[in-house]
Amino acid sequence: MTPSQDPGVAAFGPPVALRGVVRYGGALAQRGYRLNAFLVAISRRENRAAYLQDETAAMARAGLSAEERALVERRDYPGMLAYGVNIYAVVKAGYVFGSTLMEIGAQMRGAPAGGTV
Amino acid sequence: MATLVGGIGSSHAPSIAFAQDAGHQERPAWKDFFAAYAPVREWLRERRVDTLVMVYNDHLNNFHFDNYPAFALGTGELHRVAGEGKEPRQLPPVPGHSELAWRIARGLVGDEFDPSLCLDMALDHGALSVLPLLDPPPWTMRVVPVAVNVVLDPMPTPRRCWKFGQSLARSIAASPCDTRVAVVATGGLSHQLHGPDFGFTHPEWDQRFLDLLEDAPETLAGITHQQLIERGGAESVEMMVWLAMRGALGEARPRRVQRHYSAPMLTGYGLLALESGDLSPQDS
Repeated sequence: MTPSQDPGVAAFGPPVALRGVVRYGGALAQRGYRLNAFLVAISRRENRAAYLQDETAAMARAGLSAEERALVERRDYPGMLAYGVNIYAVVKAGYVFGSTLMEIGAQMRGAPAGGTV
Repeated sequence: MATLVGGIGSSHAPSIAFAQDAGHQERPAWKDFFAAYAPVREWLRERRVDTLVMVYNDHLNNFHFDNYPAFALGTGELHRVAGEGKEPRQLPPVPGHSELAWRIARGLVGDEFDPSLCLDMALDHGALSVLPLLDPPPWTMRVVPVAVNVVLDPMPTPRRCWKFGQSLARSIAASPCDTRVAVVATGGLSHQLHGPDFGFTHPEWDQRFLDLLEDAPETLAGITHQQLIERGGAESVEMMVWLAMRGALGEARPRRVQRHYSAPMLTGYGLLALESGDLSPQDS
């Protein structure tokens, strides 16, 4: 059945064209798995302080690649998402880095990474 | 026999939890939102509901991508409060209903739904931004949590959520537990948390979704993930969880207890409480 023949579609009303929508899963999630797990781990209460004391050592212990380390060092949230980090891991890491969801959102709408918004 | 009294759909959001904890209930921006839950609490009291089956989604607080379940059922007698990357909220652990949960597990599996069984769970804002609005702490109700994957594709379809709700209702009705239950679904409504359209909400679609959920739920159950995303934004796909609540309410038309909507920030905040049309007078 094509969408135009589906009685449900009329009931749902017209779609909206949204930019940059990512369906998270598959190869993207697989590539981001290690960095994603790292960001979730450092957001745990018992790990937060140790991480902030020595970011370089923590990233080395986690075996992050140079590309992954650069994303973290730059607090490049849109870059993390494009790499394969899930939005909810980004939000949790944002708490560790002192970035609010609104600041993360501002980056995604075009504000530069690394600065305060 | 357990009695299913009705269902509640509610948005969940960190902002709701924050507003509660900061005491913003009387502020102009929040007053109507918090007031909307009062008639629902009153109804839960009148109908002597003692247990909430909460269908929601976790945000990488209890479940991680090393093993991500499609449906997960919390069977414990006590659920922990998740930290979510910050200091945990000052909420007491949430009482579970182990006996009912195991009965529900058997019912679901008998219906060929196979949830992950979680004997120890932490609840995040998916459940805990809403629970205090229905049962202000100290908790008086028990909670059976059901987490649904709305984060990692491929995820269950909206129709699967609808059928899951139907099975949930059968499982509750077949349980010998002497308990009075409401099914609560949380999530959405419209929101988009990544990309250049971060912050998108769509109040017109949210209202249409609530209309369809009340009046034409089987039509709504036919929606696809892509159709949800193209109307409410990428993260709004979690609106499909509400179909589990509606699916639990049976064939007879439910009675509306409350409906409220506002979209002040990043998410459309919706609330819909429905009494089961199958509730017999002696049950009410």
